[in-house]
Amino acid sequence: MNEIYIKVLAERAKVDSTLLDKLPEEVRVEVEKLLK
Amino acid sequence: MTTINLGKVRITDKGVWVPDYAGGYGILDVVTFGKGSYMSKVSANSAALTDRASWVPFVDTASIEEAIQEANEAAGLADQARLAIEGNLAKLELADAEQSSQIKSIEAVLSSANLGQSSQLSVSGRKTISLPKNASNGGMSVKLEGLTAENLVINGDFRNGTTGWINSSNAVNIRIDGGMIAYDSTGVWNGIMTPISIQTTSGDKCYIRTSVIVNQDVDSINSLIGFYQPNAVSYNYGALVANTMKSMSAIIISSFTGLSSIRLRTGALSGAIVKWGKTSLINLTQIFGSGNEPDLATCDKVFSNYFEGRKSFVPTGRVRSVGKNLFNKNDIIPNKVVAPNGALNNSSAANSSNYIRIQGGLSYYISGRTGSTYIAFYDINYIFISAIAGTNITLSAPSSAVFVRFSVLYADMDTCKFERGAIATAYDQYRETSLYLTAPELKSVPSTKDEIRKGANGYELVKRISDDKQMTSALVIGLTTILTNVDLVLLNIKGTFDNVKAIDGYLGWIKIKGSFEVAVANRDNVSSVGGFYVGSGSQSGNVYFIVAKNKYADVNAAKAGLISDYALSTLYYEFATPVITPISYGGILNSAENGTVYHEPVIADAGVYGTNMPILLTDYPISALEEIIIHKDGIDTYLDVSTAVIAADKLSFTHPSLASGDLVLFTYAYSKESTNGNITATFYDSNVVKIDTVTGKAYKINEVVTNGVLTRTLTEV
Repeated sequence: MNEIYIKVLAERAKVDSTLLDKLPEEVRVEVEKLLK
Repeated sequence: MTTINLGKVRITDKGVWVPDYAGGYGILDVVTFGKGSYMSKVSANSAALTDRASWVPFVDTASIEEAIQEANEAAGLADQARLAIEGNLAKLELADAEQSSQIKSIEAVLSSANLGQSSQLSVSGRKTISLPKNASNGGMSVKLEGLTAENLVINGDFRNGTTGWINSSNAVNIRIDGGMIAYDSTGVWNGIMTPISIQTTSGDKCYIRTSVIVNQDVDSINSLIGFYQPNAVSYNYGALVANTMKSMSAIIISSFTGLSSIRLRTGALSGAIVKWGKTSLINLTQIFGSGNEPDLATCDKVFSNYFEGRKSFVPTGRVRSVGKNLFNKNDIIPNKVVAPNGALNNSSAANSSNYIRIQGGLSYYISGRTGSTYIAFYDINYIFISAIAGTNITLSAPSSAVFVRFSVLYADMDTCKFERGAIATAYDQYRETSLYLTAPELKSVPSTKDEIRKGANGYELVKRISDDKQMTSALVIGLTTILTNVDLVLLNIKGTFDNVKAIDGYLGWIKIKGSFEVAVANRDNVSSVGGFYVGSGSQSGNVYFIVAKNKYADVNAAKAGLISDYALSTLYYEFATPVITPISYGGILNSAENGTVYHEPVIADAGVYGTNMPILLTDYPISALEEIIIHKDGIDTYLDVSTAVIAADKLSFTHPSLASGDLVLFTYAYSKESTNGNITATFYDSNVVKIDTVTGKAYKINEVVTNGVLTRTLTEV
């Protein structure tokens, strides 16, 4: 997945605490890594 | 209660059940079989153990306990296996994420790698940039620079109907028709005008832009646009052909200091219907500073998009770099052919290209086609300009062209090439790379501008100009009445706001909305009332606002009345020290020989679908969806965009193929008024293509070694 989408999802996750649980595992891992 | 003693009932253990037990089992005989025990209900029992009319099964706790233990052991093993698999999966996911991260790092390194130790080149432009033929096929970065400008024509696109537009002469029945302002001519010298409300200083260079269409041929004698009252300064835009739209622009120089009106005039005869398009007037001297005003060709690019009031460059969007073949066979409109009027007709033999972004005024070559069709040009608003028929030909793009569209026969899809230049080169497939940026608007003042650039850690915003600051009465700290014709109100800028650039006599570092900067030498002119000049000495970093003579009795009166009396609202100023912050971005850019780079208002977004798909950046509402993808099980599936429904507020969309919980990746275009700031692309010089220093032609250097002898040949590309 293009990194721009990971960055967008990370931005959304900052304001939506439920988002990470809704993401597929491989996407969630990348988003969490970016958030850290 | 009566008790009856039934005596002892004794069961008999008969051991393991066998099917042919002699005489059969008797009543109360107990047998075992497998992990079960059974008691016979009948005499001479030779029935199978599954016959419940003959046998009663017993619960064998030992066997059950044994079975449970075995099950637990099995479950334990399964659980261990599950945990092991989960652990491995997690490791795989982490490894996948790590590899993904490393791949991105490698991409970033390659994007900036200079393997050939080539020198760097830069080209600049607005919206669309053409890379030279000696651009290498390698990494590239871009810089975007701010530009703040004000369209002094209010309601120049008639969004508020005819408000602010009145008859200047021989124009009746002024109305809106098809997005244009129209009127009926009652004689030559007909026209419409704005109120006398446009502030200029004599000598200011101003850019004016509009378009007109009349339903009859018109000679050029009265084809005038420009300042009207009190001092007329006009540009003659030439003759008109009946029912043919004419776009025009010019730089005119104000001959009056104070308020003026703008007039749009034709020489159409009585009875003619005249329609004018979106109209802008930009004071170049106020925006860029005296002596730094851009030329007409640059203005045509900078102000190609209409905007109302004061606007800056909106950088959020996509920078796309495309190789020399601009035709993308995967981005087409199937089974369509371009008509002579630029529309699309149905076809059973060809596909139409989508709109392809080009640079007006340049030559392009279309090749690799076997059938002659029309090639149509369109302006920034996708309005048709002209079309040319041909198969493999050179095309001169009209100066106002921003897009081109053409048809390609099914059989030619893999050979068609559309490239910049007057010669056809070898076929090269369509290639593109994209960089998405999210950042606040980029401002400018005459002295400097904001910019987005690629720093050591990625793209960053270099903010050199403040946000809009609210003006309040607290800014007023002094009143000077020593001048003859005006009084001065001293505004405390450097003491009120942070990071103000305070240099003695420094011009162009501040902009006050609704006001204008005047030279110190002109401060004592009545026409300067409402303007300001920058302080010097101890007042450097502060501003003197020019008010009417005796307007205020003392500083307290000025404090009480200034803001409302002169309709002051906000200001912005140059920072003493730039503020540098990282911005959100994604993607990389590669340069390409004879490639094209352009900035477009397209945003990449992603989210989990609920009852709809809301966008993340609500300041950028959807004008059109470009791409919708479902990401499921690691696979991207593209959906038909045409079946999506954009909400009325343009902040979300629905799609019949999306369900709650789907992970959706999408790109969309937004519509937001913006100036076109300068864009600079920096890339590496090619080692194999060189530009002739005399003719400017590009040549590819071919080196061949034969029997130890090096031979170099040149091929023009």
